[in-house]
Amino acid sequence: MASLSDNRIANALSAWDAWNHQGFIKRSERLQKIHTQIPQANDVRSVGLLKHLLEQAATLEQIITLPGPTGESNELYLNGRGICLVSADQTSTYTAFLGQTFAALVAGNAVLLHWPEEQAWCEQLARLLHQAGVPEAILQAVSDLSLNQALGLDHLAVIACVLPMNRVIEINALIAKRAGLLVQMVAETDPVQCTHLLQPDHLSRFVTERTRTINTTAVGGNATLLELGSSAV
Amino acid sequence: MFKASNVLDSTWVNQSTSEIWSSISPLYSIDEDTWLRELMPLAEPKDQELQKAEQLATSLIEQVRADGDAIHMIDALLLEYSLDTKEGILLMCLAEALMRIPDADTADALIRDKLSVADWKKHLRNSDSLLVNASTWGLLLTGKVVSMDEREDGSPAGIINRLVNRMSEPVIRAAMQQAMKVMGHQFVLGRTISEAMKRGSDYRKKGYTYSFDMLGEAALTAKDAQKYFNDYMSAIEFTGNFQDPKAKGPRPSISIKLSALHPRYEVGQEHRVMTELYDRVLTLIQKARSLNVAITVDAEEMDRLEMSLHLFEKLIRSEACQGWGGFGLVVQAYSKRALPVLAWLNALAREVGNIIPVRLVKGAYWDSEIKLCQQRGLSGYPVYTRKEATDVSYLACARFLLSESVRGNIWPQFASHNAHTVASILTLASHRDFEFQRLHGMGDALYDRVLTQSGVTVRIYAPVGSHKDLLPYLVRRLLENGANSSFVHRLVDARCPIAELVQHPWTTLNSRQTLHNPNIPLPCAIFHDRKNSFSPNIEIESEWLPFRDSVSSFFTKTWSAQALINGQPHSGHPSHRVLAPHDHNLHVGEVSFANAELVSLAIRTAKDGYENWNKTSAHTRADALRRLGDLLEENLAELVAICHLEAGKTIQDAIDEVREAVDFCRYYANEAERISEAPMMLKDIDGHARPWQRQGRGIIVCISPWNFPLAIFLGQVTAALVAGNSVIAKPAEQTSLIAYRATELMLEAGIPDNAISLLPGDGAGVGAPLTSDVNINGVAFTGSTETAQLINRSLAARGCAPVPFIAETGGQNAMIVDSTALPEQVVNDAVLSGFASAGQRCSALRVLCVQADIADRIVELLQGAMVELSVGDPRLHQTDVGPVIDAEAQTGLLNHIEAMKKNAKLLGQTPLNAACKEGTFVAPTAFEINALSELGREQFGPIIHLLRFKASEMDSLIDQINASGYGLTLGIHTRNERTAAQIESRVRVGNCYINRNQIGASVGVQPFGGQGLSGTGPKAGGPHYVQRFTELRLVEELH
Repeated sequence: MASLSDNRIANALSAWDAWNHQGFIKRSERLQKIHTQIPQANDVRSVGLLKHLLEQAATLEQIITLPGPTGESNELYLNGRGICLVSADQTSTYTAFLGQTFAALVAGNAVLLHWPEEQAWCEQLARLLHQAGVPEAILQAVSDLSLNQALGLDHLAVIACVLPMNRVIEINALIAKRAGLLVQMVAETDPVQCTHLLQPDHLSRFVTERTRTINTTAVGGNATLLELGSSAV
Repeated sequence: MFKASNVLDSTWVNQSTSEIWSSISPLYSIDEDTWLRELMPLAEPKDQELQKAEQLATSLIEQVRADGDAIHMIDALLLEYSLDTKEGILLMCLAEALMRIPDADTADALIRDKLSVADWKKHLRNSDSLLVNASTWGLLLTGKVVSMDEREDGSPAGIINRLVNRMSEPVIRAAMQQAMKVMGHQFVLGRTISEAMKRGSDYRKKGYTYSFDMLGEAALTAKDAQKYFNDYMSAIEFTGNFQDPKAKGPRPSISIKLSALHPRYEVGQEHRVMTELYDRVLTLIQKARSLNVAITVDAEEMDRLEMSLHLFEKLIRSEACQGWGGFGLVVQAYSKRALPVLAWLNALAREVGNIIPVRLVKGAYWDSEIKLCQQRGLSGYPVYTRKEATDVSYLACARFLLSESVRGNIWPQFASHNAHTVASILTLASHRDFEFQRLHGMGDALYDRVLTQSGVTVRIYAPVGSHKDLLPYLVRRLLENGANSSFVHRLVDARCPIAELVQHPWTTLNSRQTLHNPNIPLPCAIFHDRKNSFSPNIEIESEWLPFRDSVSSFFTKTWSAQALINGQPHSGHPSHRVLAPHDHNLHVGEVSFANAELVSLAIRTAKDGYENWNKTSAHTRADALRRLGDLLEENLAELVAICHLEAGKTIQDAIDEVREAVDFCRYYANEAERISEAPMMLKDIDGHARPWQRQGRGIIVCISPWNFPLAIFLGQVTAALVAGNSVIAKPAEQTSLIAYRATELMLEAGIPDNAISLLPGDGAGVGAPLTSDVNINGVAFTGSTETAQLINRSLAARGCAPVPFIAETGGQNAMIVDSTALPEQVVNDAVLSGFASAGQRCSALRVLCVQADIADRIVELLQGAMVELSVGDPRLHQTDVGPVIDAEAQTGLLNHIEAMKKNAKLLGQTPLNAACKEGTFVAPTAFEINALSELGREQFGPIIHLLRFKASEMDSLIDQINASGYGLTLGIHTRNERTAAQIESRVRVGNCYINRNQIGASVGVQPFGGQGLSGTGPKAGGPHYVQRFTELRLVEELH
């Protein structure tokens, strides 16, 4: 598949680090300001789904301290994967599309919206989210591109789609032909019940794990261990 | 087991050295309680001793505290900036690094990093010491200025403040450099031996004598070792020829550090130690003896103890030492082996007819000993885990050293700053044939009294050399050992009751609930929910020799492998021979690759197997994995032998390979239980809660690489299995034998026959048919990025729903080094990260990025260290770097080296010996490149590319690293914590290692995996891995 360069990709990449470093809680708070006000999706189900995703995302902020030998600190934490294309066709619902969009955003990714059937709504959604503090480069609409063109955009890390399974299979085969990194396909094939979006593993598909190991004895010695050696137990 | 009380039995003591030697090694990591129960009676004070020692210690402390001039120099500094305060740590960190930083910008940044976060004000006028108060004022002012430019939230403050800051930086830097020089002056007696003699003259008039030491780092290169040798030689000559007419007391001596005199002072290189280092020390001895300057060999880490005793014995039995009583060594009382070592030295002295001076110290590397044992999963600790246990050991050793059967053989030199220890020794001693030793700058007041009141000689151990070289070393020792609870600190702290200071350590230890320290778990118990994997310590005779014999017994064995389906072996293609990568004359076994029919059979079997295995409880599945972990440990020797012969792994690499596999089994067993125990209630979109249960997905294909033929093979397979899937495993074609043996062990552990199938073969014959089959429900793969893309396409082309594809792929791993880093540590870590396992690790270092200001020194050290590497037969302890896996890999790497020779600067290449021609070896090689873009794809072998960058180019360097698209590991070396944090947050990698090597991720400790071109995640050995092999299903649909 031929790759496609686009200014929007360059913009997204330049803004992504800062968005990614904001952290899950801040992003979640930012999106919570707006999640009840989306046109066509302010019903109980949509609001409930977004609330669920944002609450789940806030828990991802936690840095996991891992056990190990003394004199070393080991931590595991999560980051966004990069640029995520959120794509849907006429079978999608606003709720499911929003769910994928919010999931990708709150997880720390830059998002490209691609729903040609709802181009105007996508632009409206983007404006609302920009007003809520999501940087313009982090949320951009690309509905002007064909699906093939969108799938060929450079630097895509994730494709989050709301499509029937047969379309998911087609797209999955297309993106597998891309050169470079393996693009993650995160599909919602149940646009009404949003079964996948509600599962606890869903958000984890939008993030990547990082481990940070510090030899703490190199800067400041191992005071904790020395204290233990002298403890009166 | 050796009986401690034997040392007071003259018959036992009069045994030969060879008889006593056998008592030493078995005590290496003996159960602490058992051994201390043996040892304690030797330290137990008799009624009179207890009272007398207490009285004397009390008197000494009272006198010290009554002396208004008692607290000065380092004592005072430590009292005010004790190492349990942030300021104390920061001050010492600054002292450790500042003087070696050549460029102003990085020095300023380090000062900002360390000084702007502490509360210096609270230390003002707490101390009577001029030095301390002067330092505090400086630090206070500096700290204020450097912290002015940021508000609490990190935003810039007023422009004036920032201007003040910038304008002040040169002044601050100069002031801090001066402060460090002042500190250096306190820690170091003189920059040269003549300056030291001059400065020590006043003490010599009082009756003190000296042991001078040209301290420093262990030598990494032959050039550095030669420099240290020259320094020692000059010091001996100067000391021998120097006449101080006013001096009283014995002549000064010299202390030498063996690891400074040879670049490979290691057990694995004992053949070189016993020849090259032997010759070098012998030359020093000959010179020292001719000038009547005694030499003491300093103690080092516990792993080197037995080798150092071998070397000492060879030296003292040489003609050069005959009849001379000036060659001695240091024994560390925190070692469980200390007492039999002293008994052995006593016998040695008797046999050679020389007095041996023995400095008894408490020990200098305690924290790193504990850390290393935990990291390596060793059998226990070689040192005591309570301070009072070390004190007890010290007194037990002292009782022996002062006994009549030792008198005249050993000249005891008791080094301690603890008034109670000093008083106890004076109480125990029935004669005065011994001396005390103290450190320069510490314990002055105490030993002034001892000197005048006891008549015992006191020797000052005094570092001599440039402040720039020595201060970092001394401060590191201080940071590692200078706990605020140390006696030095409490002696001068008037708030600490004297009664606490004079309590006998035997009494203290005896009052504890356990003799060992329950707060410091054994290496096998550092994880609260699973057993740590075990490794024998191959540096210790009592563990190494039986292990070596056990592994060697498999060297004549051959193995065979074929498809293993439903518990039955199946032959596919005709067998082919497997030859050892290090020596193609060695036949290791036979492998028959699977054919298309066997692939189909395995899939059918796995379909059947999944149904029952998935219904088996998570607990039962987890227990099978735990049994497998135990079986792997029981079969350690055989598995290590196969790793040597089939994969070319060196001894420690092979042990670590098995350990990692064991850890995977135990960790994933726990993970499966954690995530699968009970159904979880999840709300649907209408808010109705329904129960969901985690289930296996079906058939998982695991495609593993040859570079971790057991660990990654089993890591993938066990995670998929324990989640409830059936597994078809395709090992790398180069390493089928070990995979076959591991599969046999899985079956033995209770994995059902139809839940695990093994299909040896290549990608085209086995991998492709598997990944294109619609029955496959997921793939775990570790290998090249290109192969991962092929598999992904194959899976996606099946026309069915996407399935999980977990890919761990390559990297173009960098290490970023700024000018605050310690060059020796950098090069040690770079050599290990780049060349260990012949560079055939996904995590291995490929690009060493060094700030230009220190690059020349790094290059010099790297070149020197590479010359010292030993490449060869991986079964030998001396081998650092084994072969690469096969001829194809070798050719690719050699082609890269040839191409780089034309386009880049060759920095160094380790020589290969003739035996390497029999196998597929690639010499460790280093090039200097000008830009990262000069590198293409990853070169999976022992090749490091060094890239210089300017301090101002850090951001651009990070951009270049990110632009490669790979993101697996990153090493960072800097003493500036802000710099480390900034780099770590910007570079997009899966695993970042700060101030250490970047290989050897430990299961559950450093979950491993990359991002971008380096992999999909989730990380192996992490809390999200097993989960990816599962799916959630509604409970109602399960029944």
